[in-house]
Amino acid sequence: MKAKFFRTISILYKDLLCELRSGQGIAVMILPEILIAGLFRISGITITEPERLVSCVLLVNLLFAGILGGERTALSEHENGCINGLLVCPAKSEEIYFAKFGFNFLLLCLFGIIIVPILAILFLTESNIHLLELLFSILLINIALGSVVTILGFLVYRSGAGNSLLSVIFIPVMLPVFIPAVNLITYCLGGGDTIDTGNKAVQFLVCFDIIFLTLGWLLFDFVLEEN
Amino acid sequence: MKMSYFAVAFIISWVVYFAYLFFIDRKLTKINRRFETK
Amino acid sequence: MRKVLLILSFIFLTGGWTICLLPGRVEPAVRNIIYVHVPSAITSLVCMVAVLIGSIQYLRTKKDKWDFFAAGSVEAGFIFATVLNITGCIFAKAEWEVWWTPSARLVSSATLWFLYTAYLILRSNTAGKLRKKVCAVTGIIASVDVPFVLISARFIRDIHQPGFSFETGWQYSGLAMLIAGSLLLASVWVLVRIRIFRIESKIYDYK
Repeated sequence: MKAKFFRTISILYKDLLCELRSGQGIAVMILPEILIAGLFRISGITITEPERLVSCVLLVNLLFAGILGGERTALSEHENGCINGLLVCPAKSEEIYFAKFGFNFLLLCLFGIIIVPILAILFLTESNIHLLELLFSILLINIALGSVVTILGFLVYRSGAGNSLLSVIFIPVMLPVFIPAVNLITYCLGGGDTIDTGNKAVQFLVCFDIIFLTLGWLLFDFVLEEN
Repeated sequence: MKMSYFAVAFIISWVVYFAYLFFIDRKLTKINRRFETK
Repeated sequence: MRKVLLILSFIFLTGGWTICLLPGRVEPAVRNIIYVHVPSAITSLVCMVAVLIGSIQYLRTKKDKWDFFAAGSVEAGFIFATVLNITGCIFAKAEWEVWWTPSARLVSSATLWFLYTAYLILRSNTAGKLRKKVCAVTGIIASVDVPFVLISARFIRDIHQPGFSFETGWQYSGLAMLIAGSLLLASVWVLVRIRIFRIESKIYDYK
């Protein structure tokens, strides 16, 4: 059990080291975010419910960040032939899956921590933000995003169809997660929803997290194996 | 029972479609049988 | 088997439509589109469950027939999902004067359509031996939407979609016959498609 954990952590550490050295991943995620948030701010539309707008912008940004990050996860493994090393090492596919999921999850959390203050400064100067609940809900959403994007990134890469296909399959799978997520984040930012919708949304999100993590764990073996 | 031309056309195409499915099934069975025997 | 199912579906659908349009007619006439909407909703969900079963069985046994079953169900379910969304829009426009509204039920039905589309795109863009495995994994992930559609249809009360209840027994029986007929028609389509897939695979084996 301890050995499994250490194998997962070592693969995760390798990915984090690569990311620290190149820094490409987080940069590629931040730029679209600034663009989208800036566009909304400049457009001069009258914003009647800024919390709802911010929750939508936040989720769109997390979606894009998830797609870009997931693409890079699969691509960076395959392009230098590292995937062969990964398959040959004593780690099982479930350990590889959890390591990749952990990497995507940490990247998305870092991204969330960076953009929430930016969005708050741009839009939410007059709302009372429930910070702890906001962090907790972003954590839940990132678990769902990370678990799906890990397996779908590898799947789309194996299919050889090109990276644009990741967004085609990723967005419909994520839509049922985003419907309660919008309500939850609106509540956390101090918007119009009551704590009831927040509770129901948390239940939905936890269910989806468990389902997607389990599915990714069970199916990753089939995605990785050679014919 | 008053029926418009549209309704008549719809009923006719309904029957034609099911007849088409029926005969396509026979054709596919014949093709499959040809592959089985070879 | 296929012929029996085809004849049964013809009887159920024709009989169901006769009942729905003559004794079981709903006043204002546009509301009768509910007779198309509900059976296609149920059938598209059943087709997605069939995709789930086919994909799981393919990954377990690696037998081609399960992959054919999953792909055929996707094609049949795609048609029913298209009908579901279009008739839903028409019904919403007639009843509540708005073509579309972002409630959970409508978004999850649209998601169902997009998931079918994504499966079909992935299937046609993947080449070779990997196609079946990739599509099986996609099918399993795509079928996670089905419980969400059911929950949002039954338990989340929107302003826009209250529970629907009929007045006469004719209407209930007509709707039931249409649901049965749609399910049988979907199964006919799936079985014919499986037959076509099998013939195709035999042709490729010869090559």
